[in-house]
Amino acid sequence: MAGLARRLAPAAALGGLAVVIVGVADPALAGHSTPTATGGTSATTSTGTAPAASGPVDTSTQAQTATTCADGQQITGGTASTRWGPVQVSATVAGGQVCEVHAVVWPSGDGQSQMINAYAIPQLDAMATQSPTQFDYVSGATYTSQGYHDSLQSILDSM
Amino acid sequence: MSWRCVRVALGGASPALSAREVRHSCDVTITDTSRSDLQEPWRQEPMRPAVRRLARPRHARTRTGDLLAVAGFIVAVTLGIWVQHGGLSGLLAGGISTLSGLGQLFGLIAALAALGGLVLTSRPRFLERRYGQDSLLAAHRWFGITTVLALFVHAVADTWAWGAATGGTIVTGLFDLLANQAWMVAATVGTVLMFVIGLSSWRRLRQRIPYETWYFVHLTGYLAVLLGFGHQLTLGADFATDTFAFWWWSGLFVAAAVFVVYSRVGDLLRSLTRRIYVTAVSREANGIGSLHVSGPGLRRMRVAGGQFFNVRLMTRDLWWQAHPFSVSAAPTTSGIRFTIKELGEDSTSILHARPGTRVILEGPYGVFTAEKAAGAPVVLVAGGVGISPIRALLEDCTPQQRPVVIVRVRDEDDLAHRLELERMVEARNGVLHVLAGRREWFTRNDPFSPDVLRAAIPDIASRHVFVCGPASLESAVMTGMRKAGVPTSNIHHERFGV
Ligand SMILES: Cc1cc2nc3c(=O)[nH]c(=O)nc-3n(C[C@H](O)[C@H](O)[C@H](O)COP(=O)(O)OP(=O)(O)OC[C@H]3O[C@@H](n4cnc5c(N)ncnc54)[C@H](O)[C@@H]3O)c2cc1C
Repeated sequence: MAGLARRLAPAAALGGLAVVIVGVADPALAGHSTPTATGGTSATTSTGTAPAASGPVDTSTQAQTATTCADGQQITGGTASTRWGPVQVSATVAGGQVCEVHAVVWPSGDGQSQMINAYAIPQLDAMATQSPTQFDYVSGATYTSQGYHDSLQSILDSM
Repeated sequence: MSWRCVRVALGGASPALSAREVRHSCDVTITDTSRSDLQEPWRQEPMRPAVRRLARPRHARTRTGDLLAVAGFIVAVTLGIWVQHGGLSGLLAGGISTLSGLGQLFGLIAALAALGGLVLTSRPRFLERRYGQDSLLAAHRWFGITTVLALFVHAVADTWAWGAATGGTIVTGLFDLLANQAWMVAATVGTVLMFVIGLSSWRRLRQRIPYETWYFVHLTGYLAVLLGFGHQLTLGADFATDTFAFWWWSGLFVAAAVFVVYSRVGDLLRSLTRRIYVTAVSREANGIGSLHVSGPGLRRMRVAGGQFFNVRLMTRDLWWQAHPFSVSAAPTTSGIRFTIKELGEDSTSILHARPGTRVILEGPYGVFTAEKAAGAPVVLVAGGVGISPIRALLEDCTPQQRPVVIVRVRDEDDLAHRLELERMVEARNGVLHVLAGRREWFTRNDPFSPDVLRAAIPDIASRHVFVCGPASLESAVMTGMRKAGVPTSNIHHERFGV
């Protein structure tokens, strides 16, 4: 029996440690998987725990843009459905011109979407702000670009 | 009737053995004919009509082509899902997309390889019967290596991509994943477990670890696979949003689990319900002894000479370990014999088992059987204790197969079952060559050089070769036989080590 204990010890320690670490530290089990402030600086991703959820409404950039296009009017575009989820943009219109565009909703239900959109959305925002009627798709983020384009088009159409 | 207290009268080929009798106060008498040869006239009369040879295992009808088709289908559908979800275009898009696409691809590869490895090591009957445990474990090893390497690429690429996508480095990416993403701590712990398992199976390291220590660590692999599952569904772009993909992937895991439970637990239950006990232990040669077992549990077993069992003695000290041992005589309803070399502490204590000790036999396993020769003439080569399956195989040979038996031992005193071998070879129109001597002598006068083989066995090219012994002997025999004209597919071997 002593032989068994000696030979079982490393495996038991390894397995036990693994279970404890996961139980204590994993966001899925430890209960701190609230959707707050994930994604570090870009602060735009939701948690990965809710499949098919859409990106949160991004209030921080709205506040920020209000100062850049000071007396503009905020118009929110239609929701464009894409393969990965809805995309919706909001534009600031001043003097009949679109002076700023940013996305408010985008797919983030899965890790790949989160990852792609974390870099695609800022690029799209920048390009669309500069040239709302014609901007390139971001490679690797075709669906999001398409949705972004469609949602923005609905704003342009309403003007 | 009590099988715990049987009176065992060992009928014997060897006079030294027939003198040995183990007596208890009992109500049954079993004549141990495990070393007898049913076809031979001199064995006929003391036999009781109730004693019969155990049936041979059924043919396996599994076809390699079918298995490859199923595996190919699984891989194709999985990769198809990946491509359809833009995995391939992401991979080709450059930048972070390429990195994350690469990570995903290797994640899928790692998971599929891990599941494949689990199925192989569960040794389901339809695979074991066809390929034998050693081939399955060798394949399992390759699947394991693939898992570990793919896992490494997956973890590095995807963490890097995550870091870059969130405006940081691979390190900030890792911390972000661990702190905020569901099941990522689990996945990371699972990955570390897999690395530990891989490392412990690296040959150099494994040889230094006691078998059971290594084995128990290896069992944590189940946990590792389980821990990885969560993040595949929550973060895996392919499964989080596509219902078909979700069910496909979950289905694969469930199927693998069913395989493992069905074959492992099935084997275990089967072995636990058979009542088999030690009937005797005998000494055969220098450092080699025999373990005789018998009991009502034998009756419905199907065993062929050359197969082996995982043998577990239910004593206070040994119940937790099972050792593979080959049957060394044709198994009959009255008993099975194992011939065991005192190699380590455990094999030595097995040879000190008391009659009446409960034995759990898991198996039989292995495809190292006479069936492989399909009636063709054979050469049987044994090194050391490799004699045990060879001895049993010889018994399954017919006179038409004219078996040539070559036994390599250091010393004539190390040769077990010599009398039995001589008698059986004679009854089968065969020859027995005993190569005793030091290794140095044989390296200078290689008995397995093609010229020697051809001279000693003129029809060698048309024979099937069975070899069991140390790796060095095995490879010498394989090379010699191949050069002497034996097709590789006609050379069969069983390996005792890892
Ligand atoms: C298919 C097969 C058939 C075998 N048939 C016979 C036989 O008929 N007669 C015989 O004497 N030996 C046979 N062996 C070898 C026998 O199983 C080992 O010698 C025995 O397990 C050694 O145990 P030990 O603890 O006494 O020795 P140790 O000194 O602890 O180990 C010696 C070697 O055996 C390996 N080993 C130990 N336990 C196991 C285990 N449970 N499973 C696999 N390998 C193990 C170790 O890794 C090590 O390489 C067979 C092995 C295999 C794989």
